[in-house]
Amino acid sequence: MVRLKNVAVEYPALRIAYEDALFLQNAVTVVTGRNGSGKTTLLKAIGGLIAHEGEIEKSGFATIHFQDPVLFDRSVYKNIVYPLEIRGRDARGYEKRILEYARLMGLKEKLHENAKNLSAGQKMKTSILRSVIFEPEILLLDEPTTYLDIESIEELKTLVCKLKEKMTIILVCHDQAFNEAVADEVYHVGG
Amino acid sequence: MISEGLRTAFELLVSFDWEIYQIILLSLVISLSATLAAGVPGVLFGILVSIGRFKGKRLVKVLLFTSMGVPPVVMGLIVLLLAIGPLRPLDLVFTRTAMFFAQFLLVLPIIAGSIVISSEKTQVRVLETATTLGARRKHKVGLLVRETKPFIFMSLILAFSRAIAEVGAVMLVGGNIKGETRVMTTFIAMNTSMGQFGTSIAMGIILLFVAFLIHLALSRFRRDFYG
Amino acid sequence: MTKSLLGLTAVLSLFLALAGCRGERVTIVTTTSLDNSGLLEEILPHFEAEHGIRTRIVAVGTGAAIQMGRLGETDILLVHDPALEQEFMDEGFGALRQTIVYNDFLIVGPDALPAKTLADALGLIHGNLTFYSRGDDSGTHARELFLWETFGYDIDGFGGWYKETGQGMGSTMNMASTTAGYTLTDRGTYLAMRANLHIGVAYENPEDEGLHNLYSIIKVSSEIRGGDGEAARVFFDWFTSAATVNMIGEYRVDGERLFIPLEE
Repeated sequence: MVRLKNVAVEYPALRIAYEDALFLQNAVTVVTGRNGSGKTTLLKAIGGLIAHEGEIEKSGFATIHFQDPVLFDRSVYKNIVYPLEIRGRDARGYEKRILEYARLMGLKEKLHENAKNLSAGQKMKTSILRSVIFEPEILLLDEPTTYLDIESIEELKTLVCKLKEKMTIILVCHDQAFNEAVADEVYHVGG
Repeated sequence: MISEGLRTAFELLVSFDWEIYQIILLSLVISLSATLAAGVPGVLFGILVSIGRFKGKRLVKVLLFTSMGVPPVVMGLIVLLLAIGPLRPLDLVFTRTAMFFAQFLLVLPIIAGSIVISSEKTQVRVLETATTLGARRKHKVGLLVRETKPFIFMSLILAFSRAIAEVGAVMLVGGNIKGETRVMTTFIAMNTSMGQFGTSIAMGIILLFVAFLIHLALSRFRRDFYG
Repeated sequence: MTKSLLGLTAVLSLFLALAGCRGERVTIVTTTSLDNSGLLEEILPHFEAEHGIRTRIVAVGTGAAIQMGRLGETDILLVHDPALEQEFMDEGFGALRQTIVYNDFLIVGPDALPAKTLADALGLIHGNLTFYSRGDDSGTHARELFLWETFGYDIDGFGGWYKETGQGMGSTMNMASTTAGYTLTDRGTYLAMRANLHIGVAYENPEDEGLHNLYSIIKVSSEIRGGDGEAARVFFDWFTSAATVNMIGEYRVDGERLFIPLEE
């Protein structure tokens, strides 16, 4: 879970204040708001990447999947197992799960190709898988449907619904249909 | 005159004139060793400046980029004055060591600076991604070096090209002494002022040819750069 | 509007370029030694005032100077290598030549050499002391080699004490000064640089003809140079006139006379 209390982020030009909230465990909360209202900033604050005022209480590690993700110069598979390796976990134990997710997201054939050579949509999916494979307590997704075709969006819906059983999921997305399909809660940013 | 130069170039290369070979070899050795020696500190400094968040970062960057453009002859002057002055006991005046040292100081900011210019944004984003995936400091250093490898490679190539092509520093600190500190560029300068344009052109062609060969060899290893 | 402005600029530039054509100006190529002495800076304004012709000096090594003469890149040569000069004239590149003054070469170094003759001096240096050679086929270099050979030395056998710099007199003397070494130099460059050097006269003998350095002026043939050679002729006549030769003889650097007219 994530709890916000008097949270605000100060930029040189402006200050964004967020309403107090409790993002529930095992639920998907969709963050809504106009362009530039501070949705991505909120994700970054929860993810611990930027400084903020107030308190953000978290039940565990929070990871962010960015809208234009940076993949490492190595195979898709090696990208996905990166967070496992740095935690000292044996990647072999996760092989089955990786294959399952890859098949679900249509990446199975590309597993051993260099991630730099993928299409934009495939890069998105790789980044998402990389973000979820190590089972973070909190998953933050910034526009995860970008570049995805309709089938892939369906696959993503399935994945998100599966994952929420284990995580707190907070996502920002402009695809209304997707939001309506997956949201358990809605949190609004800005006036 | 160019065809005369080409012919002389060919003659020089196959003449087995030890003096010519020695000159070519010395150029390569000094510039290569200076570049490699400056590689590690240059890359590390470049990465630190790219990802560092500290007060005065802007000033550091300005100083770094300025040093990239230090005229070789000025660097030569600085090293020469050091060699004559405070470093006198080290007996460095007009030596190969001094030439190496001058080129080392020349290429160090070039390596660091090019890394910052070419990959600062990339590095920041890689770092951000690593952090959000839970990486700790020890993971990040290795990751950054891995992910900036193409930029590192490019900066080393750039540095070496500048080193082997410069004449100001090596002329001032080396003295163009035959058999000791004469390199391709000082040889060209000397012959030109002596009016032996054919010989100068010849060595110029050799210099270009050497650079060409190096890039040809490298193109076998780096498809990402040379295709 | 911009087009006509560009056109006007182009026409003006062309006009200015043509105005700077030969006829208004004499190009003189000389050696770095002579340039270093400062003589030309001193006397050329007299020529420009008297005759209304501007002069342009290019200072290079003797080899390059002769080469430039051959290529027709200059009107006048002021050099001091009689052998090369004769070759130049024999091959028809020069129209007029006259040797006018001389000065001498001397050996400079950290300590005065206890030598009564040049032979002694060279003997003390050979194999013992660090000696810097011009190594650049210049007049001074040619003279240095000639002296070694005259006294029976085999230059190819010289060891690490003998350092060829391939550079001009100023640079070479500086290198000697910096490392407490010895070198052969012309008096003009020495006097001009004396104040900044850490070395001084090690051996000199102005009477020794072997150390005499003869300066000549050559007018490059107009066939090679192009143009009518008028301005160059005027300069040649002025330079070789008694008044000018006198002026050259009176020229002093750091209080000392530098050039001795041949008639004396």
